Amino acid sequence: MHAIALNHYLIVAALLFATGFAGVLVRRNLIIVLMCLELMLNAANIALVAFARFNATPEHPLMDGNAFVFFVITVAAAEVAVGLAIVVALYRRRSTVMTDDLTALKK
Amino acid sequence: MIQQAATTPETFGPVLLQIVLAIAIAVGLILLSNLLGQRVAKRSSFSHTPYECGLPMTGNPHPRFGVKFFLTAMLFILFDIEVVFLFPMATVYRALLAAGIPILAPVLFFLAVLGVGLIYEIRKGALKWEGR
Amino acid sequence: MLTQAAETFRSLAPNGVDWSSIAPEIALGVWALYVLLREAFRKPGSRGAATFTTIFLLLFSLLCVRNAFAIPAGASASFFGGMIEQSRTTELLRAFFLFSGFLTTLLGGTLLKKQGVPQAEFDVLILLATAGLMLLAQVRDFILLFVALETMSISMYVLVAYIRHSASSLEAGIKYLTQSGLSSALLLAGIALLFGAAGNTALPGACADPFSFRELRVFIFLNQGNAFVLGGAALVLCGLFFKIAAVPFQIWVGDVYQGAPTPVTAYLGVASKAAGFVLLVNVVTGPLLPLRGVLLPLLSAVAILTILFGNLAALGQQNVKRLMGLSGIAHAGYLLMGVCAAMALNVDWPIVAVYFYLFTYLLASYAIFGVMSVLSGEDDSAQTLNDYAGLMKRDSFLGGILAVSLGSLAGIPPMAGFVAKLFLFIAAFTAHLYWLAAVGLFGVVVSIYYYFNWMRVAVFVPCKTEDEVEAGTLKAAPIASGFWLRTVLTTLALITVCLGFWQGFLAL
Repeated sequence: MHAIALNHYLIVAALLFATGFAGVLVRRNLIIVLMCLELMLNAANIALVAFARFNATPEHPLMDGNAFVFFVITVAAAEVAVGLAIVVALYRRRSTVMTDDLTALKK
Repeated sequence: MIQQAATTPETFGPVLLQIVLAIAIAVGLILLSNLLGQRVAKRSSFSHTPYECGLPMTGNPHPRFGVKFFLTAMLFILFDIEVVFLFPMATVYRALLAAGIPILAPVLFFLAVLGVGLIYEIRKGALKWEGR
Repeated sequence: MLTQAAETFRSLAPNGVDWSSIAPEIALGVWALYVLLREAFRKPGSRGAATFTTIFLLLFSLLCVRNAFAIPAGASASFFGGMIEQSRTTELLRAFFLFSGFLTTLLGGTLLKKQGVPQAEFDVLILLATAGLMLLAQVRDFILLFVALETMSISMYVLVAYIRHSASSLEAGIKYLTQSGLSSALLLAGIALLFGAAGNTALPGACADPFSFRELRVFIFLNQGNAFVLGGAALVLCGLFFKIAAVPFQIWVGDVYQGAPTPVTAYLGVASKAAGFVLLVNVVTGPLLPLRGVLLPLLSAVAILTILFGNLAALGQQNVKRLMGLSGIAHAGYLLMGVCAAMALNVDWPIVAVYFYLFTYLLASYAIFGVMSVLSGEDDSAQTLNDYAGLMKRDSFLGGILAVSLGSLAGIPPMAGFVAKLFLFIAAFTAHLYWLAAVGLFGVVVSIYYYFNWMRVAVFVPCKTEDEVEAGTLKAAPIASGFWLRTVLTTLALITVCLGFWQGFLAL
């Protein structure tokens, strides 16, 4: 049986990233769009951690790849908290979370 | 690669087990509630409407959703995630001290920032359940 | 194990961690905490710390200018293991961001009162965003780049959606958040690819710290054809193109500029765009410079499209905030021209020209947005050109400020905008980017049309009758505006004119 190598992780990351990207562009529900954004950030996280693990040597432990992931997790949480807050405020005003109904700003 | 154990698909056996368990529990609970739960009359569509008094509903059938839950959940996410930074600090604390880099004061400053956020929340009434 | 880790840390920070190098950013953060606490314990009816915040930002900005000239030209120092590099330029950029923060809080004081929303949290967010922007001016490392960029962006999401009772503000906020989040994810993916390629010991010149600009530059030089390097570079540039609103990442501009509160629109258009350019300049003349052969045609094409799109889209625009946003896209195009020249020539003076252009853009934009926030009525997002009819007669002071600033944006000779544009065109010609310069000239001609149309409406179109004023979104004359706001607007216009005559301090 083959060992699980860097490529496998990268394929998972690429698939997740593509799913998220397509979701942000295609989906109309704002909550799902926010979830897709998280998916993209976490796909990048998987790639970072996999690279850090497989490229590490005793001389260059590459810990900063792992450390970066902590920052990305925090940023993602802050982003989604702000996003949800805006969606809730918008829902209270317009009773909708669909992007098609966001029409206050038309020329 | 440092001290890498061979990662073969078998290494991920526990993960697979967990996925299977999660699906089994979810499906199982739905099945169980269908088997054991109360039967509703299936023919009349009126039995699914909130009021069965013969009049059509007026107003929004969706309940106002509790923003307080949302607020508390969001605040929880933020404070929960910040702990992520305390963990690496704890693991390298001694090494940083050995390297002569003071770390305690910056970490306390970081905690103070979180504390100020918490005080602001409390004073603004974001954590109040009653009233408003 | 312990000693090994300690050794690693010691090599990262040979002189210890020098917190004083980022003292201004820390001070901003602490002040933000103070404002927040003061707001939490404020008794209803008593005043907040808004005035102090404004003064604080102005003084700090002046202090940074003074510090900048204390640093000898050409000298630079690295801190935090090379994450931060400070020189006279970065110090001036810090002052730039502090100054735009100062102007934003000042305009905020005028506008937020009309909208009936609190100002303390607005100031806190501006302070935090400014701290993030100031760090962005000095980063030489992709980790700090991402963290500082997101500090700025997340504060900005809240600021754009700040007027909670207005559907248009909230809508602009969520639109900005989703699209900016998308661009951040692309940027992050690009960073991850570069990290993966540069850390790979099988490739020549693998880095010990694959996030640092300096090490990446060497690595990219040795591996120019690597697919991961090319893909990573492309994704990083996508993320930055979003911040400067270059085509094809400009879709958000119209809606977000229109829906955001006017001071925030100004902050987005000036400070956020400037930060994007600072990063773009540092990235394409730093780690990505070895890819010049691929990137120069790409950036030139983007610049041409950006100039054409911005100017043509602004042509028929009636809403003034949209007009500022769309014409701002065109300005990003001219600035990209300077970046291309800097990359092609690999010298510093086009970069100075880019920064000088950004400064003149700050002066003119804030003056115009200042006039806008004085004129705005209940609905901040619905100002059209018609609201400016007869402005010159009703209030010649505001009309004059508007005329000077629009002239500067259009690039009319006595104003600073003309000189700044001239520098960028000289840079493009020196770098033999003739097509780019030709399109740029065409764009300037088009822009004169719509800027002058605005001026024409303000000067020649007769003032509306009193009834129409009542019905419209505009407040009736005389137009109330604070003493300090007037002083600052006058100063901005004066500097605009002065810089048009004298710019000898520039090391071009």
